[in-house]
Amino acid sequence: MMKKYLFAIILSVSSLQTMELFGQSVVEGRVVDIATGKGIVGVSVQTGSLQVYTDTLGNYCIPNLSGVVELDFNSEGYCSRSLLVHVDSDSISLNDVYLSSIAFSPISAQYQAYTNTPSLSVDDAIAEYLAHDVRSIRRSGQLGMGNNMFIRGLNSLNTNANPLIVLDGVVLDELHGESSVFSGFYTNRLLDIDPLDIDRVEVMKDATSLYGSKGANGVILIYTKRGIKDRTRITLNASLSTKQRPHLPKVLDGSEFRRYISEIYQGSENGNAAAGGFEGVFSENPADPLYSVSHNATDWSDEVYRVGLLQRYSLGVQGGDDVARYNVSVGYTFGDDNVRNVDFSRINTRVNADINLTKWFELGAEVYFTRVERELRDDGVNPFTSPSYVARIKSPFFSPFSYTDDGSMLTNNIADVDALGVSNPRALIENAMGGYKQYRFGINATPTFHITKDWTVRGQFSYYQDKTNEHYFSPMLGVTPQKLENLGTSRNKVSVQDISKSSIYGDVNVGYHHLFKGIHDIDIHLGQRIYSNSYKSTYGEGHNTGDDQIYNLSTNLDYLRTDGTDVHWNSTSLYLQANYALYRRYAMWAIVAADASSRFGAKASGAVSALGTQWAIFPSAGLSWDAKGEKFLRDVSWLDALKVKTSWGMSGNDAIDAIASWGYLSPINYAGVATGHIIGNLRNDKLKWETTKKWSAGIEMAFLQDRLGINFDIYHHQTENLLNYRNADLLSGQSYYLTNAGSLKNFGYEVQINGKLVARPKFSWHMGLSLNHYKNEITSLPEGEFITNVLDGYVLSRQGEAAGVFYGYKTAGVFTTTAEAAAANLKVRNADTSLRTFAAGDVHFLEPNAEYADGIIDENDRTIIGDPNPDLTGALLSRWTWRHWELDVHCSFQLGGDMYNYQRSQLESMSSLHNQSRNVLNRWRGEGQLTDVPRATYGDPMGNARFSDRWIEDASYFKIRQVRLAYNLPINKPFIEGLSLWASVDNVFTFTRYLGADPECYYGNSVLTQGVDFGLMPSCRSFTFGLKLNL
Amino acid sequence: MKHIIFKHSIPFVVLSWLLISVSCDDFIEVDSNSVIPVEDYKIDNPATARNTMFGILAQLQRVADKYVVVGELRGDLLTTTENSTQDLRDIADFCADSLNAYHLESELYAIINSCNYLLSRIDTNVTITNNQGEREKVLKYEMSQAKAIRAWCYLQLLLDYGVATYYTEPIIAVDQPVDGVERHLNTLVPILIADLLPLVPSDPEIAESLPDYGTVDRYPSKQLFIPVRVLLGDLYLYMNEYEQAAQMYYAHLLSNSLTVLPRRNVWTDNTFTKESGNWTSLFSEMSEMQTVIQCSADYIESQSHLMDMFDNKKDYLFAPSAVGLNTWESQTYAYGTTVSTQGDLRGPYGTYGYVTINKDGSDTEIATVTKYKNLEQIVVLYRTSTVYLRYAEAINRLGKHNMAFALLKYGLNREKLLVPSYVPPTEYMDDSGNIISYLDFGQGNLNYDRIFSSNAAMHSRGCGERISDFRSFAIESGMDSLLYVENLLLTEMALETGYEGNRFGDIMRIGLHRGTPDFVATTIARRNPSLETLLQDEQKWYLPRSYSGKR
Repeated sequence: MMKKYLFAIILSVSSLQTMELFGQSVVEGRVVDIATGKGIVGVSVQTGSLQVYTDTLGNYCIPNLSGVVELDFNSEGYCSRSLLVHVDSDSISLNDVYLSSIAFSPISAQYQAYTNTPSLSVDDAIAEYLAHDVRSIRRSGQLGMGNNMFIRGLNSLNTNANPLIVLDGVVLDELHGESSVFSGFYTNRLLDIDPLDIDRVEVMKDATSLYGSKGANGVILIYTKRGIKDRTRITLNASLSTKQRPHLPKVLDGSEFRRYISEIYQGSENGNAAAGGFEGVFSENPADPLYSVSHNATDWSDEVYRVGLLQRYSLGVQGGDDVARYNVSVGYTFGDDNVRNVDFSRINTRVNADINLTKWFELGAEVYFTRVERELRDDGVNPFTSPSYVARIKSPFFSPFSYTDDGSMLTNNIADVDALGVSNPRALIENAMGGYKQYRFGINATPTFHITKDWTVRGQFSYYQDKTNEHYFSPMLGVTPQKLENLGTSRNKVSVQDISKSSIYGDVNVGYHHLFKGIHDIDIHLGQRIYSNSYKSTYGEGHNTGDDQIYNLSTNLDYLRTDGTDVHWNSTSLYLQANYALYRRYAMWAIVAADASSRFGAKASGAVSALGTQWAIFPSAGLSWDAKGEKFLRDVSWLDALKVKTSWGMSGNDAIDAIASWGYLSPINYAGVATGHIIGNLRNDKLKWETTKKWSAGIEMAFLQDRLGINFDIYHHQTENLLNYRNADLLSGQSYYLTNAGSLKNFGYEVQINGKLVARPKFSWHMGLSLNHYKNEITSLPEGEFITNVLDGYVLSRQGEAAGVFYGYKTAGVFTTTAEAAAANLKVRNADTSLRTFAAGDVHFLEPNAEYADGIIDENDRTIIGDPNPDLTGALLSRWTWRHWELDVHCSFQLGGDMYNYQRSQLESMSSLHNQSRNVLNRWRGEGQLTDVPRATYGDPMGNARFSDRWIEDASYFKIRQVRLAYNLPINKPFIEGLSLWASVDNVFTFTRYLGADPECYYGNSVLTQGVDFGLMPSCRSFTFGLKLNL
Repeated sequence: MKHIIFKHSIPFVVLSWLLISVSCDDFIEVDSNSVIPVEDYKIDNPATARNTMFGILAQLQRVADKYVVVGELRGDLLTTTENSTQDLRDIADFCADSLNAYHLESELYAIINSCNYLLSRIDTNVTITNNQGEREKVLKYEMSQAKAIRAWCYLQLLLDYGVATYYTEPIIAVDQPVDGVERHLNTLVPILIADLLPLVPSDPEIAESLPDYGTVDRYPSKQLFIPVRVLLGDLYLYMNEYEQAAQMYYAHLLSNSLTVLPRRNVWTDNTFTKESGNWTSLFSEMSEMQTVIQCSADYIESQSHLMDMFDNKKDYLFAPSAVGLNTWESQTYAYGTTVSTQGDLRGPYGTYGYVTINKDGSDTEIATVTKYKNLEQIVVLYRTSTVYLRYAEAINRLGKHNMAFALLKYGLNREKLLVPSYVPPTEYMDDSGNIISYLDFGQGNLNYDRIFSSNAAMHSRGCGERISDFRSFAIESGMDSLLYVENLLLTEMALETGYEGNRFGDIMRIGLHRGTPDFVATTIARRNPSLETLLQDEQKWYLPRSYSGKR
């Protein structure tokens, strides 16, 4: 009877696939909630096409099994689990399988169900939940700026090192090389996906040769939600966030600043150079009309910053039946960022459907659209047009508004540039214009043909279009005129940029899957991908419109600069993937991909010539052994899983400029009246991808009914044929050409520990810890070392060193006395070649290179002063549940890793009439003063503020990223399935000794600019209140 | 059975489709609308030829400033200032290294490569019907100009680096072998001459044709190109082949009816208190400016920064040297026949000026070069004055000292040349009493008198005497007339064309005439005596090859 009943429960053998019943054994067991110890009803237990559900006691029974089978246990609201079973007798009774009552797998290579979150883009989820796999660094705290992500070290030097993003099976080109007209801004293409639309994220690290020449930096697979069977689920999310003003290092107040400039003005030898037109600043006579202009107490940060406010609404409907399933979502997010007038809005919609048209044909279809609109201002250290930076350097004793000529009344007119030549932040906030729009539109079709039980043909056809429009105008009034290098003066500036890219993506593969005798499991896919892109950009810049009312580009502006690109690039990849498992215990896989790309030179070495073009070949293979399946471990009750794996493979990086291998003519403007052609690039037939050879090994363990899970991986990556610029033949008249030369390696390990510390019916506590270490080393540079200038600093690329090390001057404090300075007897060479000796109060620079210890501090005395690569990064997650309450705490940390604090180097340079940070109060002022801050000298003739270890700081930190409390209302009404209220605090606190605003920042996205703090908007503490309603 | 076939064939059908449906080579071949693949470009119509030529002109803009800096700073008239960078000082001191910022070798080769590219692609057999209804081979002018510009670039390489690699196939790929040979002046210039000679009409009365694109920005396109005859004149002159040089310069002057215009700076009273002048108006005179590199302030790539570099008050990078100032100031200005004063008015009124700057709290008077205020965004390669002076340099070497001197003192015209006390007729007549063709300014052919009758005395432009044969200026007796006149000509080159970029070339050329490095060393050492020994070594005259890597 019971058996009959159980048989009946085998309801769900997929109607699409015929059952294959040739075994005779029955497997029985029970699924138990780890918290309650009671059986769970309705858990899906599946192996291959066989699926049964547990009964009310949590029992299941699967008949007709043989060989080795893998049982997958799935239930909504629980963590998935799988179990290997050796069917070696007629009837097998398995140990209880424990499921965690909360769908919470703290850290794993796959992250599911993004919900109750204030995050605007998926980068944050990756940073928190996938820290084991991805090192993720926020670019800045501006809304939606996203993160730079690196998987297993830095696998490139000069070209993109961020992983490939594959969205719903479609390769997404993030266009990392694109620049913006806004300083400190970056177009984050992941912002086009609403995290609430995401079903799961997976990270692919060692089988990336599946993506051939695009996979060297790892692959992040993002899957959006699809329709569900049998029921309709309506989800409404709403949240409101406020974002606190940033906590920034303090600057001098009015009286301190007045003392500072008078010291610079009167005291230093170059003081006279600073004089000129600002005597009123020192006027202490209230009758002087200039007196009132320079006797205010303005907190400029009040003029620039405000509390941000963000509202977010989204509606999702999932539903369907056996024939068709659909998912529709609409989201709208809008709000104000912390800088006044800087705002953000996003509209996103996504509609998809999966239809079983016939028994053997399924069709998936999707349409999506996202529009992001922003009002922006320049950010970072820009003393002319970045309101946030100008607010730092602007003297507090000026007012944002102007006075009447006699100085008697404050008007409501915005004040012009002050007597010290500094812009008015208020003018930048109110009168600058920064329109930004970002669009993506896409359609997908995914047909699947089940030819036979074993053979399947899948297709993926996509078209998507990305567009960005940028328009920037910095006004004349209140903004310091800029002397453009080699040009005249810019009083105001207009710049516009339009970028448009459309892509066609196709993937067709034939799959064969068969389980022979329940022992040999073979799964083979052979496919081809094509990827075709068309990219256009136009850029225009002009200066001096003559009137702030005129803010558009026109031909009669000064110093016009126009640029544009219109290129296409195509690539195709043939791939073969084969998986074989013996007894489900011993698995091996092999992948080979052959890539052809329009980016490769026609005679690229290492490529195979076939079908009329050159193919780059990327093989890889892996082995794994599920030891738990072995007889001697099957009955070890405290060990739930033990898996060992290793893999080797090659994948590539094809982030080469689309036409870098071509010899081409470029247009050149002749005096604005004619366009000529010149040779713009030398053909390089041998140009090719970078190749990364990857080796890794790992072990996965689970103990004590899955209460403790430990994963450990080590890896070694060797990247060869690094893309580099090399000097061209002098006779060609070209400066550089792109070529492949050099290699680097990464060695590292990843540790992940998950623990279910408490699992009680009413209370549970889960924790997860991930640790990640890599060591990066440049192993060869045939052209010799090279130095890259980054914001007044230098980054050295040298054989034997890590990528991105800082190359500057070493210091030994400040000369306390004249005698001390005289004893050191160090000098600098002036522009006119005369020598100038360091004196008391100057920085004591060292000469670490013995062969250049000539007493003259010059660039020969530079040495490596810091390494931005961290020793250890990781994340710590904790979740407590109590009745209907959930509390999550997410932390991340970094140990080691240096940061070049560029903003501090400017705010403590003490060389100009810009306001300075309060640390300059410790500046050297008199003989014998013991301090580490040098004297203030206008123009800094000794170069005390040069790029030295003074500006290199340890950027170790421990950050409480998020504390989130959710309350799931116990509702069980026919029309409401669930309601949860939640609140979160983000960027709660950062423990660090780093002196800048945020130790987590990234300037640009190049490997060589990591660890550079450009003074961008830090991540600010924010409070979010949200609700989620399920209907 | 049928079912089985169906079952097993489909995967293979799909597979085959996969492999053949995308014709891979076509798919991988992509194009771009913003650039043109070098291989695809054919220059077979006037528009394409013009666009390619504009590319070359745009590349000339990139060498314009460096041409002046390197040409003048190694001369005697210009010196560095406290604002000058080490790179500039190194050039002035003849110790530049391979990383100096003012190297122009790569830019010159870029132009050469562009010219080679044009020459390799241009189809000079393309004809169109001209205004006269005749079929005309229209692209030959671009061809000829590409050769001229290429030769000019090679000449600059020789002057600046002493050596150049001559090659004629364009380099379009990184691994392309270059069939080029390193050559010095003696071996390269004959090749350039042989290349250019077929391009000029043999009849000196016929003007050579240059590409005509109408007015481009401010200048008629003809003034943007290099007259092949003038360039040939220069090349012959560097080879000490004076007669051919004189013939070439003369043919250019004659066929284009070019004269020394009477634009002068003058004192308007005999107490030397009031001056007026229009010498600088020459710079905007179309018939004076033979070839200019036309720059533009409005476009970043097209800008000349010379005005800022020379004359940006306290930031000025260059200043007239003491020798330079003295060159103008030591001239004698004659007012009428009895009164004179010191100084050539072309100096302070058009070439340099004094300004007061506040330096370290005190006022200091400095001299700055002001010429580029007048030469708005242009760099002059050839003026009519340049051609006349070089012509005089050539004929002086041919023994026509008085006639060469007449350019400066009297003006080369029939009226003055027929005064035997000015120029003995034997100088311009051959043994049989005929006027030597390239010396005829109307003495023989009266048609030429109409052309040259207005030819003025060049020295009078700054040194007074409206009647142009002032007493204060004469060939001194008892001296070697050749050297004396040559020295005067070199001085006049400074007075008239100073700071235009010619100076080092002028000194070097005359040094070559004299056959000893000593002349170059002593002339330049007037600016900085410590250079005299150094410059005895001819190798030191040049910048080192700019690039230490490949080649």
